[in-house]
Amino acid sequence: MTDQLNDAEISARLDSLWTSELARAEADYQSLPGRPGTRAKLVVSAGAIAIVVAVLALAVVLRQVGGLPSPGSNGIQLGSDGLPLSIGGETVLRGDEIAQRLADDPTAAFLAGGRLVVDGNGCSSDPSAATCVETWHLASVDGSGPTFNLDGAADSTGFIRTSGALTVFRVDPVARPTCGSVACPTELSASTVAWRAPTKGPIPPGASSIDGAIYEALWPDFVATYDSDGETIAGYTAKADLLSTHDRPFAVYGDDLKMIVGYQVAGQGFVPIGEYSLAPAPSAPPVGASPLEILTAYLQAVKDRDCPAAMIVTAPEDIVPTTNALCSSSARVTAFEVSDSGPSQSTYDTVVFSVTMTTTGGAFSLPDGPNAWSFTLTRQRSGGWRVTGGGPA
Amino acid sequence: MGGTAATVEVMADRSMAERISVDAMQEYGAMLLATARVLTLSDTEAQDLVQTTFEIALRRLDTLRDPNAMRSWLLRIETREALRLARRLSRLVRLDHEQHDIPDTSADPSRRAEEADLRAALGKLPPRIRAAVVLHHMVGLPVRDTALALGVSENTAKTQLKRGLARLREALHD
Repeated sequence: MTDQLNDAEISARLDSLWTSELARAEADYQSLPGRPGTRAKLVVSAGAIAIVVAVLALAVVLRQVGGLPSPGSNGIQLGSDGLPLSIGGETVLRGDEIAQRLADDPTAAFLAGGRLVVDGNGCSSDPSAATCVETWHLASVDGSGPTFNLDGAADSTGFIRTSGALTVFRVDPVARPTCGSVACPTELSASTVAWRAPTKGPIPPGASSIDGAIYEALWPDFVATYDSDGETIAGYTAKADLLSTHDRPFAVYGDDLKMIVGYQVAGQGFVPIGEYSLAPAPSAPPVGASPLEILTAYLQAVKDRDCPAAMIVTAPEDIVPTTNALCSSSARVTAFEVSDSGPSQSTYDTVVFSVTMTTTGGAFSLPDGPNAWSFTLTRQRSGGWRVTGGGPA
Repeated sequence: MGGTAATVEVMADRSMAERISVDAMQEYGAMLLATARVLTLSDTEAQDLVQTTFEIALRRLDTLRDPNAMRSWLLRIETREALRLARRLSRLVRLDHEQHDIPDTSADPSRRAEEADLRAALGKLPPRIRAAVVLHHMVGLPVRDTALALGVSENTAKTQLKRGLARLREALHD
């Protein structure tokens, strides 16, 4: 049994946890292909986009002229090599600085930045072959400095299997490999990815073999998508999307990897955002639609994982979290049945239905199998009905 | 004429609001994600929560009177959504101590263990008290803004913070 902590000590621990969480979120938020908020940006007007682009362009020019460090997300200052100068007040070491730190203080934990490079001998022709041995290295960004072997990189928290990404690892001194009785001078033991910048570009030579084998570690995070002329890069599609098995249209991002500029559509290729709407654009049902018709449309949409179509029949602010959870989380609604005995409650402006939803994949959400839920629909000022609530019965 | 001028003014306001929203996503996305993670103690639910927060923020931009208050305004939306989830969808999105899919990320093993203990202790707090502790002691919101985010008086927020620290002390002592 330990002594109880005082308020200041607890506060310090909370502060320390917050620093860790913030560093991790900064790394994750940068690298998430389906970054929260991306969808919402679709509603931003062209005028607003132009303003943002102009501001960013000005910042780039000023940076080039004045040699200023560039701000990354959440105010992280980037050096001229594109790596953060520091994260959470801790300096990011690179190149010779890393070697120096290893020599000076082999027991220290520190942040090491560089370009993550895979050495995948025998992997390009068949990544699943036993002869495919993958090792990861941290090279200096311009290739002129030392290269370090990254022990445990693939198991480190936040690791993304993409060669070429500018990455900052937290180096763990405890697990650093040893050469004889001392820490190896070129070995780093990576415990966490503290920051990384997503990569973009065409699929490099050697990343796909003639017989169709794909060595995805060599693919950039965002793969170049070409316009109809086959030569002009129209934007970039997330690698994760391209390697997935579904054939829905994929978002194509602009140079900044944030703004959506169009969609990659099966059988059509790149379609600019102004010329295609992701689904057949959902249209609001007629005002005279019955509550049951509205609810059925909603449930069918979440079953189809068509969030926009589901949202259109909701009164959004109350039901957004439920709808997101049902149509875009890991839980999938595979079937639904509205009680055929009619509404369980019914007034002039409120109707409640009992629904049995069969779900799968909801480890943290819905238990697999049939779930009894109830959905509330409310009459709107327009006279139409909308789904305004839902949850376990 | 007056109508045209008013329309132009509204459009200018709207353009500014939209620009602010884009900047906000960039500037505050990671902070909101980190906050959501300690509020929900779940990576999956945290990402959903941040997305929902931005969706709601975009719809309500016209209610933001002071663009300089964007950070606390977004945190207020996020916290209220988290609490709404906890209250209304307790089975759908569990904000309780059973749910921990946040990996440990610290540099050294002792700190990792300390952080794991702290997450577990946070998970035992009732959602509103946890939110108070997170917003004030971790994110750094003043008590006044913390109270605003929770929709309670400053005195209530102070009580919740006091209870939160006391419960954390007990949980960390066990």
